[in-house]
Amino acid sequence: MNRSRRDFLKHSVFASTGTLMVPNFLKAFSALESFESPKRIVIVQLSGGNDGLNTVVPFRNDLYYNLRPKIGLPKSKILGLNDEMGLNPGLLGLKRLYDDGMLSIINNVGYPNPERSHFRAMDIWQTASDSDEYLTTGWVGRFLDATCEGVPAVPHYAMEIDYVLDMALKGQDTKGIAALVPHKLFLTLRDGYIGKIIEDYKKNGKKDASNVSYLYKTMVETYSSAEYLYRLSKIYKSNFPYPATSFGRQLRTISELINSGSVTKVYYVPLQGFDTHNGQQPRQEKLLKTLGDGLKVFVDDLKKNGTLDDTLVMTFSEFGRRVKENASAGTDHGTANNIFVVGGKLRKPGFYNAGPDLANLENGDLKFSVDFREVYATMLNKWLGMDEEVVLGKSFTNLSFI
Amino acid sequence: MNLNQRQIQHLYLRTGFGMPYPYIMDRVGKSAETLVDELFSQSDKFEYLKVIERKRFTYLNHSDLPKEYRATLSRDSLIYRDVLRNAWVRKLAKTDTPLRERMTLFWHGHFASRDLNPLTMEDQNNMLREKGLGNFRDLLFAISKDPCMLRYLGNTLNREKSPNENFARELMELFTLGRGHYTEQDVKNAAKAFTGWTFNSKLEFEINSYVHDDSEKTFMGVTGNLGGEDILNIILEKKQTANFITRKVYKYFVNPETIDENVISSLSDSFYKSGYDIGKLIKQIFTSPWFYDEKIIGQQIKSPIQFLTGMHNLFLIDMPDDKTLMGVQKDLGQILFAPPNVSGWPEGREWIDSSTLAYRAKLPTQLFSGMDWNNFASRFRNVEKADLPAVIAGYLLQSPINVSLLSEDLNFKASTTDLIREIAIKLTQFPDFQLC
Repeated sequence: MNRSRRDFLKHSVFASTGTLMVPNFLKAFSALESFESPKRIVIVQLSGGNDGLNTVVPFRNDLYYNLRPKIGLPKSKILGLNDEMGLNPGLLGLKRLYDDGMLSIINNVGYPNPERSHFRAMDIWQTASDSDEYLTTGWVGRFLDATCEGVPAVPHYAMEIDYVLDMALKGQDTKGIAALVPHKLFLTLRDGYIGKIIEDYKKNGKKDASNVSYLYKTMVETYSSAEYLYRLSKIYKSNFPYPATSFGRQLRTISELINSGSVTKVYYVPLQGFDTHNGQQPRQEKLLKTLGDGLKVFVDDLKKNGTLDDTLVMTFSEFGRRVKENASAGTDHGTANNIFVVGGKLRKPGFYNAGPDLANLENGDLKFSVDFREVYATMLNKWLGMDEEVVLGKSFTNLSFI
Repeated sequence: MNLNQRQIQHLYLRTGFGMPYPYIMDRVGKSAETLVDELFSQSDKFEYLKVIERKRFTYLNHSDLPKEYRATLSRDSLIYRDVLRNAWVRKLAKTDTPLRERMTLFWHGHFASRDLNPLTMEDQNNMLREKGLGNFRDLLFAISKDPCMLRYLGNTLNREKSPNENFARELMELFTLGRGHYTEQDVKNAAKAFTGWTFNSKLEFEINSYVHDDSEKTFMGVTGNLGGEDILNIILEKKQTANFITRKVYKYFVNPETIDENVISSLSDSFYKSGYDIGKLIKQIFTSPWFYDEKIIGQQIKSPIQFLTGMHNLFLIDMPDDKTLMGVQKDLGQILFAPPNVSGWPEGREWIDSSTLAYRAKLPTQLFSGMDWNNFASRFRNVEKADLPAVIAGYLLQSPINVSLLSEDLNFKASTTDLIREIAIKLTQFPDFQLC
């Protein structure tokens, strides 16, 4: 965050609040200054299993058209990126980012013994577990645990812009916060009796390892985060032309938080509907348009505000789909998939690695060559300054996209 | 051991879904044995959950289903999935057999599975209801032959030529022994023994002998042409299975945070000796003096379903309409018949994050709209106005609060009903209301 915005933030606090509200907010504000780096990530979760092969299309490959006679995208419609690969026609927004060197495409991302159930596969991606391992905390949650160790937890370090908090953002001791409209959280809490209960707890309450302490502690943190987000919502309103979709509104919310100087390190936003077993083409194109158009405006917005270089966006889906189309002009659950990384300071924009080898499949599925946890490890280590072993339990190769 | 009000509330919150105030007060001073016996005798006669049309949804599994009909039926299966979810929440809230329903809910989380066909889920649920207080051996055999489970863990695809180890692995890791008590070789060989375990188009269990692996296998030191039932028997011979199940029951009903190893060891010994009598295990827990210890009471975080059904039983509120009820389950973070994965719902603190806690704090006020406060207030008509805050707090909260904090904010000049209403609304906002 630049100096003038930080000053503005400070002034606006004192200008717009009664003295009663100041101490809490300042507590959160001091946490902001304790962060050396303002770097943050935005994770876009494509729920349902996005068909990666019709997202980034190998349009020179006959195998692609042989295996997908109905849903294979004709060359004429594809947005060419190079001689062999191009994007789904819905992704014009991403094509522009690609041309500007702000998009990196990582192909063949997966893990050993892939899982085809939506729920289980999503668990694996969110907890960063092995495929036969059940974890009850998410990888972003464990990042929060490590970040907040020994200091009061700050839920809004990790924010999901949705009603319900995904497993990914739940740590052992610290959990992120989920809100579709973050500033409204405070309005609902403020009108109740909770403020009084919290004040009394701070003075007289027991602070131990019991569940009752955990509940009070969570309530205190929630109230303080809600208040912080409410104050923040007065600072920056975006007038960029986000698409009129809920995903567009969610990205606008994230941009407003970032550009208001929120200390949030991880933003998380889901986009649903990718489970295209039948009639895939129009449905997927529409969803990808929502994604691409939204991200393009988001990047423009951040760039204008000087916050793009400290922001990294990653998209993922719980699995890719089978290479061969099914009888209903759709695709069934598959395995390895591509990941998009968007940012202003990519070390390797364009194609990070070669696309999938359609001549070398495993039971009709793409083989993975990059473990998804290598992508996480890279972001943790190189971007958020966190030793990946602390979060992922073991070390993974760091990639060079950043 | 004779129980006081708080201990009786404890018993009903942990074995069921909470009870109305007069129901509790009528039983003050009675012994744990008497009340637990009452819970068991109530559970003898029970009603099945029956909201899915059998003939129609059996048809969903027919491979020769005409294409047009398949599309309609698939769409309906999504609608009826929600019908089933809501129907069970309502049943849990209003049940006359709380202990049986609570056990069903426990096994629903233990043998977590789901299916696209609502009928197989309903069937499984009724099987758990029927056997949940009986013998664990019967239960384990039944779940291993249950269509919903067989399909969920891929055993319908488990064939001699292409074994699928999913069921065999979870059977040992999550359903019986726990990690570290079997080898990878045991998983491989158990999977072979279960090859061909599937179900037919009438949704009945059958073994497809064409794809069953008849070869000699070694499982946990036993060698022979082992079938699925042999595997289950060998697993049940292991004392570790009794230990694993006892531990899980203890964590669910007693305390998920701290475990008394002496208690576990003595409970699991009797459980094993009884030949896996679940009812006996449950009875032993709820009649033990340690269950009524202050260290145990009011320490557990209510699951979303406990929270929701508790609202109905504590306040006599009507459950919301179907659409709202689905939304509430979603926002609270627990949807029945949709466990997050095969390991079930992580209980305890996992339920609570900033968003769910804020939601729990404001949800009661929404559920109260349209509530008959005169009816609720009438239960406290024998209580002096000045005593109301302490009395109602003692009923609604199992974790004691500073009542004077509450009292100083109340308008004692208001009508008794209004005062009671104000007290109740404020109490639901205390974090302590999340505990039971």
